[in-house]
Amino acid sequence: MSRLRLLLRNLFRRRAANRDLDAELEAYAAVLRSRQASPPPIEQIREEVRSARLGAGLESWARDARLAARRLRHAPGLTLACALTFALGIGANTVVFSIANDLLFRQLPVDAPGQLAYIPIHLQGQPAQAEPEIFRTLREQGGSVFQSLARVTFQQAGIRAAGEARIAYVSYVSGNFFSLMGIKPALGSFFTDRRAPVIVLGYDYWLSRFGGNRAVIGQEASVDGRGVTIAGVAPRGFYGFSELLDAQAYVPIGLETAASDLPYTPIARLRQGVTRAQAAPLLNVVAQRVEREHPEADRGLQILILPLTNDALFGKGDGPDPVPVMAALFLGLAGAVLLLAAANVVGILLARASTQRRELAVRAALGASRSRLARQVFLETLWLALLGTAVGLGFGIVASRSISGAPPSFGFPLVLDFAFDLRVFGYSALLALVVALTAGLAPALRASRAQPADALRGQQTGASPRQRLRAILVAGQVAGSLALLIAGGLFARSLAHQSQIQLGFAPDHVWTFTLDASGAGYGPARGQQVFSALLPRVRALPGVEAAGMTDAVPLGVDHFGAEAQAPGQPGAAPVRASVSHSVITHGYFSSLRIPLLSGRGFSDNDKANSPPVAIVSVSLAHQLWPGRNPLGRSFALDSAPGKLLRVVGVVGDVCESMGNPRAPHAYCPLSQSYDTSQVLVVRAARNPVRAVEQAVAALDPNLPIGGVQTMETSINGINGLFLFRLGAGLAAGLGLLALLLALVGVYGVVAYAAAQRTHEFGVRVALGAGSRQVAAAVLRQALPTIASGLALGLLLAAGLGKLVGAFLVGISGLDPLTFIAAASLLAAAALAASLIPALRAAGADPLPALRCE
Amino acid sequence: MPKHTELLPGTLDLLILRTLALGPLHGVGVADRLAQVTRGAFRVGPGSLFTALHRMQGKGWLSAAWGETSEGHRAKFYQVTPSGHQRLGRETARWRTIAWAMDQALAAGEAKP
Repeated sequence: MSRLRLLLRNLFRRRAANRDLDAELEAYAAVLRSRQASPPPIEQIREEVRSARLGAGLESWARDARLAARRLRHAPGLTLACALTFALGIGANTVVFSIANDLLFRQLPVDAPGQLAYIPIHLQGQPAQAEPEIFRTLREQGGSVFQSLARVTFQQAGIRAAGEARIAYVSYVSGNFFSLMGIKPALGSFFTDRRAPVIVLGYDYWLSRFGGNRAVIGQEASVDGRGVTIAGVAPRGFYGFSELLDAQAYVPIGLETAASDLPYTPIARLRQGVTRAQAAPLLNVVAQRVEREHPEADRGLQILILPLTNDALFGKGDGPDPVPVMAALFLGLAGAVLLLAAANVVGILLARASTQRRELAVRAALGASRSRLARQVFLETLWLALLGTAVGLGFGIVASRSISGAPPSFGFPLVLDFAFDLRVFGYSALLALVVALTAGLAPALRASRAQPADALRGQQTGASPRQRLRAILVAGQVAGSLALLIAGGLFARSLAHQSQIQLGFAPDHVWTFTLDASGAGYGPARGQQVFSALLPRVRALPGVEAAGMTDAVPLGVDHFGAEAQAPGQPGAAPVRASVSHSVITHGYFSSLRIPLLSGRGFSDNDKANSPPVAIVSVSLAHQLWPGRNPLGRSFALDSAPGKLLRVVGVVGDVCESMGNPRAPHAYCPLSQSYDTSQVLVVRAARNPVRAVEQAVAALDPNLPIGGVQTMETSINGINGLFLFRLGAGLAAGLGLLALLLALVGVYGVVAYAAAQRTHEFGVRVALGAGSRQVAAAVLRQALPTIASGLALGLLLAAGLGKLVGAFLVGISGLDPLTFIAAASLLAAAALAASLIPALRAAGADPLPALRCE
Repeated sequence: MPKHTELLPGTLDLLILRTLALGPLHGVGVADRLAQVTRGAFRVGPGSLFTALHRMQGKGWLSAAWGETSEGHRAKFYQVTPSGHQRLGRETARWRTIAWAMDQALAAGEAKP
């Protein structure tokens, strides 16, 4: 208790305590004086006692921190430069980390998300559907490890409510889904009675479609044509079983139209205290048991258990998951930028430390300990880093807010929330500390070596060995900047290349509308009828030039692959080709201006019962019938085996996806090959959205409509240019940042070196040297450093280029144009940065130098 | 006259407690008495002395009050508190054990050169 009291006294009644100590020491001195002893070193004793006193350590840190802050206030230019440099570096890192954080680490906002698990099913090593049979067995036998088990899926559906039918993305979930997640409704209730047909709205969907109206609870609606009641609204920030997809509504399993063939994802909540590793052996036993019972259907059955994360849910595509790789790559690039920023600050601080050598020496002579001097210099760096972090976080918040939110072009509700959570702030704080430690170390060590004797000497002249350290620092900075600049350039060139890819269609003046017949509860016959009745009405609208339908627009979300097979030459094996396959109507090619090269387009005469026909792209024609006329020839698709399609037309190639811009394509008429979800593609002179929506509602108010956007927006979606744009934007931004930092760094160091030689230059000028010679002397000192930095940078970039090569399209990772352009740009910038101090030195005034001599 | 010896860690507190147990003293008095009782073997600098006095006051072993010296100077007098007396007892016992043990060990070493 008394210890605490004393601490408090020392902190809050510091002055009183100090007065008391002073009085005591005064009295002590008086006693000694009366004995005619030598006077005691009162000051020293006082310092000793104070710094030993409880809490004094804290106090002296606080005092040093205040002192450091005051010293920075007296050097506003330096403070601004350093803090801004840190801010740029830390801001860039924070933005990149907030993206990685969102994509990799975000957890569901539910009770104990760590206990949630994803239970994927594999058959013979391949991902497979979780058959209801397996699910039932799991539920019966997994009771010892699972608290509960549910099935979920994510599906397009039509929701009609408040007089409007709209396409929505819904989650079909088991009745226990919400209790498994452990969440409470924001409004109303979840599924209370399993038999009652009810739905629960997603929070954001409730806001956007129903304006956050509380009266929707209890209202009638329909999902895929089946009447339901809106029971409640899910809590804010909850998007369903994945953080990446926004389930706009939750529909209990049993209400779905096509129950059996939906791909369900089994998810589970483990019992408290049970880990995934503990549950795994039981799942093996269940899998073996099921396999014994159904040795044919379930051969090689494996029941796995993974954390319920985006990575586990979506990262199991072909090849390695690109998200962690990209995240690591960009975090690395951003880290390099921060390193450059730190190097800059070190350069500036070191330069300043030399000018402060006298001051530090004086303080050392006056009795300041080495650790104290080092601490003060370090605290300055810490202040700068903190200031930089604060500003950098500001930059970061603005930047990440501007890139947050799914672009409308995605076509489905993707949740991209790059918001700053505690993890992001923690990361920035850690960065600030690491940066302060790394950047503060060299200047602090330097300060601790202050020699009292230096205080007595005059200005030191000539180059110090420290000069070499700074030169290495600058060379490293130039090298790192060049590497980053080249990486940015590569991504930017890759994007430019993407945009130049011949699309094969004209996206201007085209609007798309998604229509879903099963979203109104219609089967194929009714769907055909509605779709074919709609097209003439749309074409008749004012301003509309052409209109057609397809089930997959180029560069859109949906793509359908198939294998085409055509009879080969007599006696030869049939020819096969993997194709993209889509179902279209008359008017589709003219809407997108896809050229018809030979034969004819589909017409109203291609009826359901007339002979099956198809149109092929040029590249498919070349693959199936090389060098021969494809018109009139037949092929079949494995999606409809045995149905021979006769080629009636050949169209130009269309870029379907960025990865495969010239994929061979087979088109079938909607009348002969039905697909329930169709994209209405309308070419119009002016915005036809309202008119088309009204036409659809007038024809059939139950037909849900969605995905209303321009084709130009659409091609920037997830399968289009989106990722390339994001990547290129980030890389180019980081590259430019690196360039800026290199400029500042080179300028700072060259200017400092020139300033150190002011005296020498003055003497030279006095002895008759021209300003040109002086400027040349400065440049001569800078050039080798810059040149070696550039050479090192090219080597670094070559390594980096190999690494990022996989993410580039159309150019190699060693693209010579990018390398040359970036190197020349950086060289020019570095030269310009050294020219300013060189010219300033050239104007050196000889008088002060002579006066000093 | 013995050479000046560095104090072993922890011994200064014990010596100060021992010195003050006989009655309140001011800083100079403590220093004088220490030099006297150890016959000059231990000499404590004023910095260490005042630091120790303040620290021990902080730990509650000593209390301090302003008073007047025999020569009529104003000075701060330190006094051992009950908790300081306890501490003195424990530390004395501990120190005697150590000293005895060291003595035994060194004597054993002398017996067989």
